[in-house]
Amino acid sequence: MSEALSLRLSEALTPAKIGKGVLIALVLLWSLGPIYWALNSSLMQPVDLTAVPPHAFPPAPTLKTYSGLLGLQGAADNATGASIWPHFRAATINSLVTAVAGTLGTIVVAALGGYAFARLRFPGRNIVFGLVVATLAVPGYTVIIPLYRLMIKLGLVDTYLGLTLIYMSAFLPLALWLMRSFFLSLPKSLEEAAQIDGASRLYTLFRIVLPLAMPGLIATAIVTFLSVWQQFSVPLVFSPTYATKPLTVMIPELASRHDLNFGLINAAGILAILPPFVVVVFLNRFLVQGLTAGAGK
Amino acid sequence: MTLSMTDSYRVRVTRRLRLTGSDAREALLGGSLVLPVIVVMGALVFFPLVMTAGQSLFRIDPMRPGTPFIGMTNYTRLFNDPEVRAATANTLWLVLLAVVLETLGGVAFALLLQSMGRARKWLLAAIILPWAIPSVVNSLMWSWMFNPTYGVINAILRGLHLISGDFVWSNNRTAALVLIALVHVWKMLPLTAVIMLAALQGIPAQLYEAAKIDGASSWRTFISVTLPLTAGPLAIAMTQSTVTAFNLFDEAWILGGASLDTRSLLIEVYMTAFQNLHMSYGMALSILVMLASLAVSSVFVLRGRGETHSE
Amino acid sequence: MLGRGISRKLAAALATTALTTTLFCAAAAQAEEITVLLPSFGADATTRQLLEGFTKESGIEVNLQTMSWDDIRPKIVTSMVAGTAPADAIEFDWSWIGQFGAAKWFTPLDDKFDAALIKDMPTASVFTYEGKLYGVPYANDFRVNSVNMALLKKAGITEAPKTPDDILKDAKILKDKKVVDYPVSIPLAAAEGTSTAWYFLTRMYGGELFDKDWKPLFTAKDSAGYKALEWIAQGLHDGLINPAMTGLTDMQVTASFAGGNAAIDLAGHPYDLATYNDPQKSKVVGQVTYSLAAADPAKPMTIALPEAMGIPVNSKHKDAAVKFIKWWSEHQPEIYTAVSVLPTRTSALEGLAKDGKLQGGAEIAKYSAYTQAIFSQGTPAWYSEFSGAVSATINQVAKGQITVDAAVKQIADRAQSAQQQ
Repeated sequence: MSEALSLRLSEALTPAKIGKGVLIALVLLWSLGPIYWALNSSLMQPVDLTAVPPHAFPPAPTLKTYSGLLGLQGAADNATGASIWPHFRAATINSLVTAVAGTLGTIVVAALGGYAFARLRFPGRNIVFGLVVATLAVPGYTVIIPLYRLMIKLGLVDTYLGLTLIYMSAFLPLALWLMRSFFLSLPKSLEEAAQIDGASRLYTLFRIVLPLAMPGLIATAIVTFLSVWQQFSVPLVFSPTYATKPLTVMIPELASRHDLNFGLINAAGILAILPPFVVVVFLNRFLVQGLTAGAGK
Repeated sequence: MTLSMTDSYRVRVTRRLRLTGSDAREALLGGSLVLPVIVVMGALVFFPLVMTAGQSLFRIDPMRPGTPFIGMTNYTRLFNDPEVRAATANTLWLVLLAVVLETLGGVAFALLLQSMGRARKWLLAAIILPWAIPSVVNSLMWSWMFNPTYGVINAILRGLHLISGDFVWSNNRTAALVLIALVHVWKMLPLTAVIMLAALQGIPAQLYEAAKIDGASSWRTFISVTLPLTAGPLAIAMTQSTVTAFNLFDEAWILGGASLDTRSLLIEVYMTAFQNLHMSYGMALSILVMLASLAVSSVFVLRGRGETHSE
Repeated sequence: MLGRGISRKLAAALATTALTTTLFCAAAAQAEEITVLLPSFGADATTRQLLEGFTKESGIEVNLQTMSWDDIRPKIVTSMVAGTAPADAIEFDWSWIGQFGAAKWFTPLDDKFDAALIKDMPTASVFTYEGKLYGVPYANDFRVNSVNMALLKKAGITEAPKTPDDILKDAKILKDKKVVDYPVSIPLAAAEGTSTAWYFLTRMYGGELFDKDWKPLFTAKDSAGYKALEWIAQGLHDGLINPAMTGLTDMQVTASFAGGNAAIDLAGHPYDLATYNDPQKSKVVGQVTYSLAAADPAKPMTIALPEAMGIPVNSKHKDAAVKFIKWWSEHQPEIYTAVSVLPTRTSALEGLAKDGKLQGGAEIAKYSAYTQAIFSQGTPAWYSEFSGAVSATINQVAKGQITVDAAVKQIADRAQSAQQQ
């Protein structure tokens, strides 16, 4: 038993593998170090934050900031003891709904459009594609006032539909560009074979091309989901109430002008990254599956 | 007369349709698949963009009566505005740092992920996390870490005897710009990593095997197989880096405020249009920012296309 | 397959959205509703509970929209430029009156409120533009010095410093006796709080920023504004002010002062004591008192930074909004107790002080009587550019990039070019 283990260890510990282990450790330190620090700060009593040198672990850990956010403890608001929880819950739901709707809307339109831009010939194809991609460079401030006027006229301010449409317009260019590039990288032979067999173009797209483009589709979905999830400036203007106000807009409000609570901000930040974490771990499976499916054929 | 013209046109069109019936069907399908894109982008981006571009030629200043047409005056004034010049220099530094670091780091992360087995799922999730943090929270988090007195960064540097006392990052323009770029890169690097990972997975394994049989070194394989086949996505990632760095706001605003050492172009737009209420002047600047980031990005796009074609 | 599944889900999501929207609209049609846009007091739920009292009294529903303070002005600007009212009753900061007055975005309120009520609010005059009142003050704010008496005593000082020079003298003693490394804290980041600190210091030296014709008064070496800037430069030069202050806004200075690493916080807020006396947030519980200093100690002065509520011209519920603002004005003491919004009515402050309910005690009521508008001529339309130039320039001085002479010239130039635009 122990012999087998040591054999496996000696096998494992080639210089290349050690090097890779060090690299992984560095990457983890870079990515998770600051998040650990936020977690550490969020578990401290505010008074322990101003220690020199800073505490590497909370000296008197407390879940007070979290229980305040999650409504387990009423004292989060002063005086009357009203809880932040109803708003935190509403904001979480709003974040999830808009992120899911925005992502679905974007990738459906981007997958269909990306295929057309990659494989179908139609007049104005390159010009339209170029113009759409060029809008990546449009700063939000440039369009916000006419867009606000338009959304007011359509009655879409503070609605999920309005936000979903704006997110689609903001993240379609990148999603479309990514999807087109993934479609272009697929071998044409499979589609041509299907067409010779008499399959329609749409049948080929849904049955052959999309399954092959799965890793790209998932990557695009992850990119879009996270982009929507952390949106701040759009909902700041278009989500005035908790009908649609997301976490990203709610969190800075927690810092009142009278009192800058780093612990609370950090705690809210930590809670805000949990759903994307779950989504990424979950979608990742499809990323791998899509890959094996592609390699098999 | 009109009628006969229409008739002859119809004949021509029908003839053409008959000649290339499948082409027309393809065009029709292509058009309908792209239609949602055109509707959404047209209504929500191009229409507002054209409005703003038009308005930048007028003097729109809510504090002054009237909105006279002033042609290119806003644009010519921008070129002589010392604050705009300072913000431009700051932004160009930030773009340079962000694009270089995000591209090198993102490709390295993607290669590392690609080489991993079962643990990849977890490493990818860990790498992506920074990107999920809203940039306002992210900037506040880092401002606390770089706090000269209580921050963890100075504590570590003090522990390593690299500094003594409180090193004030914001008091040195280079350090302050690097810090802002770092906070931005920490958040945006995962985007490049995800795009490049997906691109790497699109490369058929046979090509790597062929390179191995030819006895190519891993560096050689990277240059001659990986890079050319991922040039397109790389251009996308670099364009994305460029554009987001040109649009950098929260990081510079929270870490440097209105300081001329670190003020970015978007902060200048914000201050001009929304604080000082010189609306069309600020909008003109935002349009110049857009044109500048388009110009820089197009270099990568044309480069990327060239690589793919030569292969 | 996949595509169809997704589009079905999307259609379902969109249908749900449409349904909820309809329901919302139906509910809103029943009673008159006003929207109120205020900064978040960090206690939204309590604020909402309070406002139910107004609904019970008036039958008017309140849709409270809160934002963090920095985001309110861009929201107002976006809405007004787009031609819609951001809300019916809106936050109106003292610094916006010049701009919003010139833009004619708000409704004159003179004939809508009792003269007696307005008279009870000494800072109401700050919100007049060309003789008309555009905002009713609801939140009082001014600047004080927070002094950590426990640290002063350690250095053998028994009294809070009374003049700006005394502050530096005491700071020197504190530093020499190694009580603290950097005895004085003052915000020096390129942000509004830094400009405010300079105005406050200028007042301490008994001066104004501009004359009647808006000619700068701070460029001469013996002017109050010049001395104020020199004071900051001197403090930094002598190591009495932490160079790290260049990265701190006024809120961050408060958080840092609660850590006990400075003895005198210049230009603190009248609500900081709540933080300093909270054992969960502070290491200086019971040690801090407010004080004012002036070059002429017989004439203590501070600056008024009140916030008001105004009604945009395109609001469709102006009368209801007026009722709401009246209700708030009449309930200032309860609102203060619940969410710490410092009253603007002298009678409310005095009542609270008498009942011992004022954080910081009688000092707060006393100092609020010493407040003066930063611009006795009224806040100009170009204030925002001026203040941006002030904070960026002071930040440069603090980083040692330019001299005080160059700085006052730079600020004066910027003020003049802003006036010409």
